[in-house]
Amino acid sequence: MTLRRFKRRYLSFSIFSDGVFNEKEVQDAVMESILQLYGLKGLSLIAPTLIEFDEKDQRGIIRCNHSYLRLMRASLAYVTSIRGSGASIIVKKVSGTIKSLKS
Amino acid sequence: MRRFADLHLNPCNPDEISSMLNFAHELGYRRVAVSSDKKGLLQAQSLCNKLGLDLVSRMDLKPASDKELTSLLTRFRRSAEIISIICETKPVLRQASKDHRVDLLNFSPMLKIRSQVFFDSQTAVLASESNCSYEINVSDILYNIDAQTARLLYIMRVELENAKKKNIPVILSSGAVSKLQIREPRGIASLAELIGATEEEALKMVSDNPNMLVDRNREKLSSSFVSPGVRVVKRHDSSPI
Repeated sequence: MTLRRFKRRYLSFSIFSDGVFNEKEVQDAVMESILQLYGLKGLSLIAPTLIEFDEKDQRGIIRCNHSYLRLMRASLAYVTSIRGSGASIIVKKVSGTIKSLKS
Repeated sequence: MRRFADLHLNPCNPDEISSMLNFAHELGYRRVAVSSDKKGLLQAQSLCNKLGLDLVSRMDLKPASDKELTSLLTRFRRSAEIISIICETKPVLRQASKDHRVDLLNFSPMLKIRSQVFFDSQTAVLASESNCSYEINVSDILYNIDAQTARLLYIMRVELENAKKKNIPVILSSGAVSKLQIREPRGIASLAELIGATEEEALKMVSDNPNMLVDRNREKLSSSFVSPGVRVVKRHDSSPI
């Protein structure tokens, strides 16, 4: 049996904060935000994956199920702190492929 | 292309104004309203001119009684493009929702007050006759995750339904007091999903609805305005030729 592959959306984002964060901390903050807003079921539907994160520029790319893009955006907007310091995650661009996101 | 507007930037100190306006511009807003004193507004105006942002003057009034509301409106109506009333008592809410000089109805984020005074169906009926809009501040729900916030979200959902039933324009604002509380327009619109707004409705709440309100008020405050739909097109010299 094979699982049907769902369409994906890639979101490039920037973090604005006085602090500097690593990939794990950002991933934990995003997951926590989704869990708080939509619970475990929401997390399984949105299926977020942090594809890459540049610690120097505090920018990254996150992938989600395209049907739940709005939930993903809301969860990112809901992040108000990472590792205890105030932060906001701003989505810069959304695309169906990583290639066009980077171009 | 949508022209996004955030009608509620509420800087906690004047030093925050420039960083907030720069950030709002970077995030794609084209129109912002700042609640500040005269000095702060002057500072904001010069920065907005540089950035190409359209600055809207806004005044938040928090009257204790309906009589105080009426006198405040008489005094301040023409000094700001947008007048927002923070309704914390029923008489103020009733008066504000039927007074055509009020632009925005705002409510307390404190659950104890909000569960008593909120945008109920009677308010929606009155507001539909006076052209008031209902404002939701995203900052009210952004900083707490607990049972109280869940209850607040429920009340907001009811309020939104009441507004939709009577076609009251709903305006979604950040209510940000610092740069880190501002979100991108589509991020704010996505958060409206929590209170049951569709994607299209939510996008209107951060673009068309606030823009319509500001355009209407600017027309009203202009010297050529006579009454809704009637304005002076040309003035003739009264002296005979």
